[in-house]
Amino acid sequence: MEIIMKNSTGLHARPAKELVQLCQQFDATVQLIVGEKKANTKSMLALMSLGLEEGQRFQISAEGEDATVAEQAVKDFFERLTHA
Amino acid sequence: MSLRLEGIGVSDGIGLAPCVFLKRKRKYAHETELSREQALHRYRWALETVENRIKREIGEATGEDRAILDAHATMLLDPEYQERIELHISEEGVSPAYAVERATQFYREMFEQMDNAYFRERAADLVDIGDRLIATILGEGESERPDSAYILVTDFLKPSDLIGDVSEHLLGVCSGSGGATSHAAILARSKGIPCVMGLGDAVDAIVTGESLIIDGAEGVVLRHADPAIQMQYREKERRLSIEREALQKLVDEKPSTRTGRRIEVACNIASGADMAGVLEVGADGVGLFRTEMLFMDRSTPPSEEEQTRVYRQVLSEADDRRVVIRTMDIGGDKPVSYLGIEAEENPFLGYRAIRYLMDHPELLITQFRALLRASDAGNLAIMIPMISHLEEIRWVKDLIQTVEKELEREGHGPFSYELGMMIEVPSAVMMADRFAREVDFFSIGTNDLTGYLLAADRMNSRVASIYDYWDPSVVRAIKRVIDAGKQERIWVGMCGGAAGDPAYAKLLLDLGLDELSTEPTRVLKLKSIIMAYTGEETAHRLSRVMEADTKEDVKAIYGS
Repeated sequence: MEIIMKNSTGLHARPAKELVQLCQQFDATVQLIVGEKKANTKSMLALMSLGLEEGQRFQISAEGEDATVAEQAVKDFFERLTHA
Repeated sequence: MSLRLEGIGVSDGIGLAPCVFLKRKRKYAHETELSREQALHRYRWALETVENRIKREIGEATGEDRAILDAHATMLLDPEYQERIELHISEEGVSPAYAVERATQFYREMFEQMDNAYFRERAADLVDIGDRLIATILGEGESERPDSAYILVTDFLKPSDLIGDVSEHLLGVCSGSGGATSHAAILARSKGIPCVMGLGDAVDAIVTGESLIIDGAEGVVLRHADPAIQMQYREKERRLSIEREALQKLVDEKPSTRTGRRIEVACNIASGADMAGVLEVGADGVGLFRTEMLFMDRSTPPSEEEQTRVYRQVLSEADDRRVVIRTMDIGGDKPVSYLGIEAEENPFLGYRAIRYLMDHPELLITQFRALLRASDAGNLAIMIPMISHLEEIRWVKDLIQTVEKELEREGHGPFSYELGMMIEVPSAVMMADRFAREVDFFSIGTNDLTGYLLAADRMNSRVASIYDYWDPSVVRAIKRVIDAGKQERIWVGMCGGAAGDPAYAKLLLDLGLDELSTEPTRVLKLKSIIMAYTGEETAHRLSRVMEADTKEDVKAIYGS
């Protein structure tokens, strides 16, 4: 699933923190993939080290029992994330 | 006998109080006598302790402070960070404190290498968390802040030291580390806490409970001051607070002289974060945005997108006030590793700024593209530094026109901006009448101009006394530039250190300068001088200045 970062200030501390909190609810391991870099969505440091900026494209992959729900939740999260 | 420590004053004001010393640079073993099990236990206990403390602080915090603490809590509980720490302990058997240091260092380096300044600056937050963990592991706890007036002393000042409701009892901060552009310094200024940084090892001798006097404007800390000196400083503090209150009333003033001349007082900034200070003192925008900070301390130049975002933010925050953005002034004393400029014997007379950029126009093209694309966000003026020949400024004008056409073809524009140059090379002073026909404005950079005119390096203590902007040669050069500007009806400003000197401001008003650009802390004082300027005896003073033989003669005329 490919997603475009819409937030004008990128995936900075506040949205990264919110994403971590969201993903803590799931058993599944969700990863964001930017080029060769991967980040676990339960790790704020890993997410921030991607340095995701406005307009960048990335993939989502999820593994685990509730993978489908988790993947959709993360996708929805980025859809909503336009200004933070 | 009082003992005087000298550092860098980063936030004005005077504080007198007993101090609390927080020591940060610790010595601890990398190995440990604990079993791996015990070491893990120790670390997990520290983690829980720090977590509980941060949660309590979040409960008490508001606004920006709370957002920062929230982010700190999430970083602290980061599963990858914790796993890395635990691996260092369980696989390598290092001490828990060193395990935290290693894991913190790992992410710190990762952040520091990132292109985006925002992400790079997060490294400081991580260090903050690592430090709290290490302090707890070592059983130092965290010093409780006193409920009465105190001065904070530390060998390494962190942003979190100045977060929260600290200003009520905190009368001053002194730090062994740091300088004026650190985040901690910015926080100190914004909270109005007197602060002296860069005191070096001298702070290590200070003990908690000792009474200190700190003078932020002078960059001085006094230990063991006798009662007479204490009285002096209390009196000075009283005078300053009266003056501060009076100046505070000038925030919303757009300063004009009593003769009706509107003089702009703008600020020098080096990053978007500095804009808060500019707006706070009601300055007339930005007279110098040094963009080289965007290019330094990284491994590749910032992209067009990143630059556009930074310029757009500053322009929109400034609203309709003018923002003068200086293209990169690199080389010389500001080396940038990825540009491959070799070390030179004489960097100030060497391959820097426009001289380098004419051979590597792609860097300037990217910067112009970003500037033009951001120009619709506000009132943009572009300034080119280090111009010594007419050919250089003509080359720049051709280049920016080409960039403009290229952008228009891509569907951007039309663009509205001023293009000006810095006057800092003596050849530009001599040819100012010709340059004035080429550009929309001049801004005199007195720091380099003084050095070049008098051929004296102010950092070399043996010749530093020759370097002085009161020298009649410097004054004559400034007059020549202003006169040339008037002839062609372009505005002339000043962005060097001299522009922030209140006594010098009067001389500049006599000479007919249109704009002064300085540090935010000096803006209100300059406004008061402009508003008190009557223009009486200007001609008389100027004729004496032009007759002056020495800098002492000039200083005497302006009472400096």
